[in-house]
Amino acid sequence: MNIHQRSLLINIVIVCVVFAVLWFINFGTFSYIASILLFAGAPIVHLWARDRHLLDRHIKVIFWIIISGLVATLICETIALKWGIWGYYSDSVLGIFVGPAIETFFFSTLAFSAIAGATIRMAHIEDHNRNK
Amino acid sequence: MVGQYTYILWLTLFVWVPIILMFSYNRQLFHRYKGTMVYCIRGALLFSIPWDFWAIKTHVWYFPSDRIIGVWFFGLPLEEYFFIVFITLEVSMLTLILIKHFESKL
Repeated sequence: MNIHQRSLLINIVIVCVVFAVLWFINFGTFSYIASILLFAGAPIVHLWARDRHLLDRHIKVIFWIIISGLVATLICETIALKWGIWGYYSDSVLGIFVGPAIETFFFSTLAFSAIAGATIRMAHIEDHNRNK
Repeated sequence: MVGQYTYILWLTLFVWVPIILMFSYNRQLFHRYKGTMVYCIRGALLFSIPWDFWAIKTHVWYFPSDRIIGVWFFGLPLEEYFFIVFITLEVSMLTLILIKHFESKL
């Protein structure tokens, strides 16, 4: 099994475990935040555990992705809620709104960090393979 | 707003237009790392589809029927698939631009 296949298998296991935990345990008003910490947090932990030094070298990139994500969330999510594109059930969220629900800011921080981290990792691998 | 095309309008303004703009100015960069972007999209679909499915089924969030086209695949509206794929692409593209920017300053 090569590194990509192993990584894919680990991610599939993470998704299955997280889905099972969330499906069978009712987190009530902590449901949204719990799902963010598990679905978005788990890939970040996996990435940092495997590629910490690489991601540390690009910490400025990740920082600016997070800042951009927070600003974009404030604007785009506010508009989406105002236009009625989606909504949240009140018994599944904490009920703290800063425009969008506060959990959404955690979502963009963690999810965008995960995408940035995966991009940095794969770009590094593509460069390495090209230079072989 | 525009009824069942409201989500599509939102995607156009906040996702597709920025992607087109980034692509116009960085075509070579994205061609060089197209494998990276495909990998990120694949990972995003792997995590996001079950997450979204769980969230809709367990009443965390919802999509009013008069704001979406009404085409559903495996428990998710079509627009959600566009959201997952193209938001990931947008963030991945911005990451690549920032990597290039900071590396050029070294």
